[in-house]
Amino acid sequence: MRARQYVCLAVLAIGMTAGCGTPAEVSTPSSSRAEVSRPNGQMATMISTTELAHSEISQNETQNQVVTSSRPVITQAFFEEQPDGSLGIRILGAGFSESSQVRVNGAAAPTTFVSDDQLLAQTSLAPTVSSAQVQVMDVQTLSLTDVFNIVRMRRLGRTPGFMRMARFLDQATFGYTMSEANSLVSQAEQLGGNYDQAMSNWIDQQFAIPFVPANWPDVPDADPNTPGLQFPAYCQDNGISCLQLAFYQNAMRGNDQLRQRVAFALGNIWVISSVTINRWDAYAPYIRMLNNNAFGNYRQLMNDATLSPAMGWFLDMVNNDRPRNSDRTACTPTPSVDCFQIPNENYARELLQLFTLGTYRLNLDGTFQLDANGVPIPTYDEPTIKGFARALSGWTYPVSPSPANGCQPATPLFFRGGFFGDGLNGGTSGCPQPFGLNMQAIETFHDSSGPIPLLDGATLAAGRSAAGSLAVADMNAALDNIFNHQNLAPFVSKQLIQHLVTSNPSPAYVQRVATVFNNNGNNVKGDMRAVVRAILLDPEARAGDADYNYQIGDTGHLRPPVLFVTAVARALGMAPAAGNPMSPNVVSDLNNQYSLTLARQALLMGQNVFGAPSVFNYYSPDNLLPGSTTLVGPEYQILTTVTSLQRANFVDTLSRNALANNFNSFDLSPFTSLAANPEQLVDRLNQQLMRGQMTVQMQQRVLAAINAIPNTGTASLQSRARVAIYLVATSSQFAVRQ
Amino acid sequence: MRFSRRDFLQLTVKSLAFAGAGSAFGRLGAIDAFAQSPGDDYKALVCIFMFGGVDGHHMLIPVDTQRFTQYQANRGVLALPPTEIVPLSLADYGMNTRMSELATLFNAGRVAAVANVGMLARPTTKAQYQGRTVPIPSNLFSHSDQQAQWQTSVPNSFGATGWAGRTADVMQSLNAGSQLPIVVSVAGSPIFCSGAQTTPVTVGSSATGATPTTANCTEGTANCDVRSAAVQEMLTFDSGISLIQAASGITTRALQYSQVLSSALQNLPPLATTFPSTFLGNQMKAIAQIIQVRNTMGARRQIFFAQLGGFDTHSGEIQVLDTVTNGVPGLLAQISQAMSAFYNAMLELNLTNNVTTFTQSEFGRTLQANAASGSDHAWGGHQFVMGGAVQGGQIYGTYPNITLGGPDDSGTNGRWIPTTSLDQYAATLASWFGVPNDQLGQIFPNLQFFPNQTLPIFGSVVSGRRTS
Repeated sequence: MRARQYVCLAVLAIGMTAGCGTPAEVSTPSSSRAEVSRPNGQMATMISTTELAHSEISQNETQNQVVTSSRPVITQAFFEEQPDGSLGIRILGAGFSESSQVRVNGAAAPTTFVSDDQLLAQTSLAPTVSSAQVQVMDVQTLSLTDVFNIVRMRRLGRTPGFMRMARFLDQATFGYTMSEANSLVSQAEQLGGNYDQAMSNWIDQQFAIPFVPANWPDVPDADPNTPGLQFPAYCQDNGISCLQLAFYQNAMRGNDQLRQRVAFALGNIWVISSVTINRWDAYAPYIRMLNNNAFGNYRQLMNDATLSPAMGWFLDMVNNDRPRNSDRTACTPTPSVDCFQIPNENYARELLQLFTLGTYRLNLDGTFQLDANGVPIPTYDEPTIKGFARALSGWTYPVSPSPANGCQPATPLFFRGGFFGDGLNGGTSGCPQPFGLNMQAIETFHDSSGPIPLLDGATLAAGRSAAGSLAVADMNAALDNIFNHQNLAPFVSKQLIQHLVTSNPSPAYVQRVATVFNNNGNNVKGDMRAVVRAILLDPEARAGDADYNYQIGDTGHLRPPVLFVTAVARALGMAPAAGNPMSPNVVSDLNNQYSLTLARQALLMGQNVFGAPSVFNYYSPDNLLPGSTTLVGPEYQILTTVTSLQRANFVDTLSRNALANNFNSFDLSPFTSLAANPEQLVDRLNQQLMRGQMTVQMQQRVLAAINAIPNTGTASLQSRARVAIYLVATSSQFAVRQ
Repeated sequence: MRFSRRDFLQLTVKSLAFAGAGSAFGRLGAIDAFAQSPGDDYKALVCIFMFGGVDGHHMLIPVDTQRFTQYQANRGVLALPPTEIVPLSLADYGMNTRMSELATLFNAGRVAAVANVGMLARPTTKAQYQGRTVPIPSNLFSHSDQQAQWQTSVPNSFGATGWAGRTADVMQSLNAGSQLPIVVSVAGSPIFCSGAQTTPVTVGSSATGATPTTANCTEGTANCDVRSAAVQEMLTFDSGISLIQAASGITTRALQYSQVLSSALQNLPPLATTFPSTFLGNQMKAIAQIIQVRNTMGARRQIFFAQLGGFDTHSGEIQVLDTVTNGVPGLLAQISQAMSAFYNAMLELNLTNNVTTFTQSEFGRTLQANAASGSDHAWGGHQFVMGGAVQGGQIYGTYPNITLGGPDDSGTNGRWIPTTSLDQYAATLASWFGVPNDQLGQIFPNLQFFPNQTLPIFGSVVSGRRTS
């Protein structure tokens, strides 16, 4: 409605009141809108010579159109290569019906009625044809639209196959590259054009790449001669900066793209943060754990995350003492350690709310279960949280089986009532901590009483016993209780879909994936490989793969800053230095140039990798899309009037190759060399950044901008290249990865 | 005149910190009356959201013998010792010494406390809560849900707009012609700020105050113009895809507002007030600067959003809230110092009566400590309201009975059932801001269920101005 009013105002301002508000005007893109408002019918200067012929509608024709406004109207038309190699024409407009017939160069063409604003015509034109004239005729009323001249944008390598593979990789990696997409196209061609099989094979190949812990190396001890771990100065005190470097290096270079991408998604669910965990040696093992479990089983991930010292530190499961209900007098006059009466609920609550089940009971398709009054039903209540906090009591930091001399106590120590925010556990200050090991239980601090309430009436019974450790048995029982809950599959499946494919999956899509989560076909629940495959190969994920004009609805998501940064960088062929991310020759300039790293740039956009503001991550999966009451847009929670311009300024800096030069530069010359031929430059960027799916409207606007920069030599061509890159990479059409 | 009024006010404020509470009250009141220009109908609300759920028991403490003994016994290791409590002019209550600046302003009548305020769908007694015989806000004790509820005033988590945004919707006609939206956030874009018809602007902050982000371009004037024109036009493309349109909308506003703000803030006379160099201090400085240029912006009504996180003190609470670490004060001192500096800045701008600052936080915390010297998620908590229009030195609402398992305890650990609803608290602020009484219900749909729609925080003078 707002668009309609806007158009009316624009037209009124020129004095052409007639026609304002007709359907044709409403859907008129703004480039055409400007032309319609020109009384003399001349083309706007910003539109290049290849602009839509709609701009050539004369004033008389425009007014004539208004008089007979009930007839169909063409607002946009463009060539579209069809899967069979023929050249089709897609026509956008208004007033179309089953009786609409497209006429191409004066001759009737086989027409498919798509909707009242869209038609698709088959042609017998040669694939190399560069222009055509189209009209739409209503075969019943014989009314005819104006002639619309199509000028073809060149589309280098823009085959449906390329678009399919690029779009698939854009979902499954940190941003597709031309070489990976083309390689996948070749594989599909070898399979006789079976693109689905090629995608499936690629997933298998990714599954087969083993997890390499060395991709996440431990920080080097800058001074091995001094007791305790010394973080190198270039890692900025606590090493998190170097961990970020490793992250971006792996994301940009690693061939295990799918594992990393899934691990990154898992890390956005099982959140820990360097806000608290401000030590590399505590953080890195957690990242290794996520990567190691990306293709494993969700139950194992639940176990490993629960027992991770970093998670224990972050959400206070470490040193979570059993409640001491005995004697309140222990609180006065000076409180003793027996004064405390409640377990620490922090981990228990977020384990249920954020990592596994969510607060409302879900159907298999991810929709809320409602009570008789239509109100969502809570998954658990406060006593359940307390129950899990008790079931998970008694754990503390691990100790090393072979401690460095003078560094570690021989047995784990449980600290009650203290503050050990630095993750130390009574060892010698500054000594290396075995953060790579699981937390350890100490039975006397575990709540062995009962009954302890769990989910849906289950309990840990009074007087229970275990063959081994009761703390371990109770933890396993508690995690099994969660793992068996009906919410787990839809809750986790939907969030993984949101991270990998689309913010707003249909309930049917969620249900298909959740069904696989519950049973991989071999009666195994939680098989991540099956889940990831189901997500990526689902028909809803693949719909629109070969669509030239983005007519695929509100699918996809806003690239979060980390994926935005990596997508641009990978697309432009940035090549970070190889080798150990921690070696001084790779990061020697980190101290001086941290502000110019990808990590810092993404931070400015609201996503400091490994440094979420809290366990609630950078954004909520339920965040409403601005302006919508039905669609969610999780990543929009951190897209503000500040961060949107930080995104643009990142692209500006990058286009000038002014990021930290050791790891963030790219070669502008291939773009500069095309800049004398602007159409080719647009084609190249369309292909390299937007999978060949850039709308014609956008292609033409970028083209007009390039043409508006006079070619006066190398410097101007470089400016053309930078401006073109900037326009594409800062566009909303790129920001939203459809 | 060598000695400007601004100098005079500054000097007086500085001396206040050392003055006795009783004498300060009268003097400060006189100064404000002198400073206030009667024709200026500018009003601003400033929200400081304490993310994580601040522990009210560590800020506002009952100090009469009977309750203090009870407080110590029930809190255990988290109980503040008497030496760390600054007594208030209001009998039987004290504040954490880390909040001495706020205590001074409280005693001077410029800060009021609101006790045991929280999310409620209806007035709720313990029996009603336990029997679930009245509607209860959904997902109590959950951060994300309660943050959303405090920001939307809707006692489930499905509110699509915030109460500041809806207040802006009602009041936007007063800002007609303003170059900025009513709601300005210096801390992200939370749902609090979004209305049905209005959207906020977000502005960055740093030690120098407001730092509007502008789009960089070094391609030379002509080429930058080409680039900029193309960006602007591409943002108007109607893609028909909501996700793309939403991104374009935000970027369009970003380009528009950043331009306006950065030019308005150029050559701004620096404030004499010194702000603490903390995260929140920077935000409050940014807000003060944007208020400075209110006339350039054409703003008669503004709502600001600032925030500080880290209040989720499940362990080491004393360390987080109270302790200076590497020169950085604990969170409570950060709050107190930043609020106090902001008050001084408003004094400097002669706007104390026009600007009201208030705190929010998603929930209070358990009175009982847990085994890690922390406290867990609870329900009702205490908040502060600051400004010249505030009838300060008072506690509004009812301080809870701090008996574990007592009449106010929703369970047994000291999670108080609120005795004042967020709706009443927020409606009081919106009412002062100028929302007519008959429109409060459209902003706060649950307000109708509470006997008193507003608290008398602003006395009767304010209500007389409401229709202005």
